[in-house]
Amino acid sequence: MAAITLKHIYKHYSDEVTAVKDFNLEIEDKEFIVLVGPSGCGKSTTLRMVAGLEEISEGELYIGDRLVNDVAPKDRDIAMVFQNYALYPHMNVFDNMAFGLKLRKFKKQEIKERVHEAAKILGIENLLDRKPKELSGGQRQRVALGRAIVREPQVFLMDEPLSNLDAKLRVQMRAEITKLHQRLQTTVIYVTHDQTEAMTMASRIVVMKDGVIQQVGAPKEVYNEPNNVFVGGFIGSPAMNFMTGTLQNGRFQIGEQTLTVPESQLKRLKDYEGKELIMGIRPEHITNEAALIEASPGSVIDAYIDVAELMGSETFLYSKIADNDLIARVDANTNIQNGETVKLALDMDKVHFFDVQTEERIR
Amino acid sequence: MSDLKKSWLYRTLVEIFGADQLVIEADGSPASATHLFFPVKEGLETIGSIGIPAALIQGPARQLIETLVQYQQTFMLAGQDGEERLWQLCLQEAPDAWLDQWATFGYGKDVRFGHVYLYVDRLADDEHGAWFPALKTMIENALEQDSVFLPLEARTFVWIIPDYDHLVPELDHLLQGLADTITAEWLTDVLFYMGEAYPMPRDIRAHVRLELDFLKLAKRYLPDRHVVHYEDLIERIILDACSKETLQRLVDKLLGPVKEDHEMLRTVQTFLQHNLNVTETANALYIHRNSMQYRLEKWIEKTGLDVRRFEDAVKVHLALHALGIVPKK
Repeated sequence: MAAITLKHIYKHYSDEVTAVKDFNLEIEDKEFIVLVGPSGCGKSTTLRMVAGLEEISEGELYIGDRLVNDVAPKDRDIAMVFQNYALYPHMNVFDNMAFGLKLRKFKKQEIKERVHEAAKILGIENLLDRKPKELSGGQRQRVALGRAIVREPQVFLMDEPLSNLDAKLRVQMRAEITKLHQRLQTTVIYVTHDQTEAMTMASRIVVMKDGVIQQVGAPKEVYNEPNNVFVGGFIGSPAMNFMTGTLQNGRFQIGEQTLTVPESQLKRLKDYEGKELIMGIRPEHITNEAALIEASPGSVIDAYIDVAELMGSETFLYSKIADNDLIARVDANTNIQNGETVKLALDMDKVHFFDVQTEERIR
Repeated sequence: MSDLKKSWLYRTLVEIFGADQLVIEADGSPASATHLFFPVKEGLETIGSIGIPAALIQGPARQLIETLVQYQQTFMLAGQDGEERLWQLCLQEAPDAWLDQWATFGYGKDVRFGHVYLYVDRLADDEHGAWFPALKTMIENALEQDSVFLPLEARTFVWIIPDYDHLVPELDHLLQGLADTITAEWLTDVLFYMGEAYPMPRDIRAHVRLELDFLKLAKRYLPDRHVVHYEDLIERIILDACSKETLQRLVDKLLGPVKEDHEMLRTVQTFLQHNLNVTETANALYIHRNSMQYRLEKWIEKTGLDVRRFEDAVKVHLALHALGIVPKK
């Protein structure tokens, strides 16, 4: 097992193209780190540098206390899992899992022990004689994981391993991988573009954009305290709502509507009086409950509901406030119809304000 | 001498007459009063001859031996790994000599053989011998049907697949899987290039050289891809034929005012990738639709090229590729 340290890591592809910029991260032993961000943000490149598949242009990478910048991938004691689990169709599950060990000339008895142990962990002992075409998608993915597990590496590197699975199976495998991590007690670096995977699986999330770390933190921390507009918008589904407005005498003016900003927030905004700001609020912090609307008249806006979408356990209300899209997550039993104008109360203690120029959260 | 003893003809004659009866000659067929000498073929070359006591091969026996000698390569190829051996010969030598050999394998005239090329990164030469057999097993067994996987040059291999055309729709997915599997197994980057299908028997050497050029283009310009098709390379093939001066001029003329503005270049590149759709591009870049519109207007103002129009979009598309090809100052 090993900690991993990335110090001032850069990846330049050319003078113009830098895929990863000044990446600094200390990953603790046995941690489950998720690198998340949109396509092209540098997350896979970072993972591939840890694996040794990409050369590091600048900076230092340590696995344990060993500097591994110039260590060949095969000598880094890592195992990789990808989204495409091409199992060898002519081999049964046992041979598929044993293949890498046979290549490395492990003794028969050791191969047998490792494969059976991995199969037990993954719950596929009864499938060891089957050929890949006799397996379901989830079972195949378990075999692919098994191939990595039998190596008993110090670090697992997973690059979008669930992207090829259908939505239902993805949810199931998310839980499986989390359980697997708890059982194996190994360091995992997991790359995904799916913020839900990041939120549900990670000990810590690393949010990336344009090759730069935007925020590192526990899922709850990143969700509740986003560093900037990008993180607020990327983490969470539906995304955080953003509304551009102006701070006037302690009130936030959005088009023709005004909201009272609580004292606790105003302290942070003293330099922004009379200036434009971006206000961010999560959909669940907007309500149509009559009691709350009545209790906080300074936090209420009028919203024309374009669409009221019943999701089963909740309803999403889609509206537009002065050209800003707004989504509210309200009770499923609400009776609001499309085209209705309603009052919505915003929990102003939960809103965040961001600088219009830098898009950083004002603290 | 050892090659002669390994030949199909020698091994066959040993079975008939016993090794002690045979005489082997590395240089041609010497005149002999006691023995009749027969040439041993390796590819197009004669590598020596085998002498059999004349007394043992009179009448029909001599006719039988002459038939064995005449068709020794056909018989050899019809044995285990014969098809693979024939492909090796076709990749190395003039093909016409092998025309009759193909009949042995029963391929119809209409059969087209697909060529898939594989480049494996970070493979030390001394590792080649160790893991090639495993790689070969993996690749050849990835399909239900027979296929042949052969080394071509350093780190480069060709996978020849008969009846290729009907496989093409599913091949991309299979190759993606194989690429990930090879990387996971050997921790090395790989690139598959899906080449064309060619009828056989023909001189495939010229085709192979051309396809290897495309593989090299793919390696150079699409380093983050693991499976590349000819269609992915079309712009690069066109631009690769241009001189550096021509490319530089194209870039300067079309992108001059913006070529250092990375954000602008990325915005327009993403816009082209999203079929000139402003909303989808804005979503992909995580920017507001209005910001996207603003950037496009800025681009048009600076370059005079309205990328929302097809013709200008094509010009910009080629210029952006050229920008990636033009050497950096």
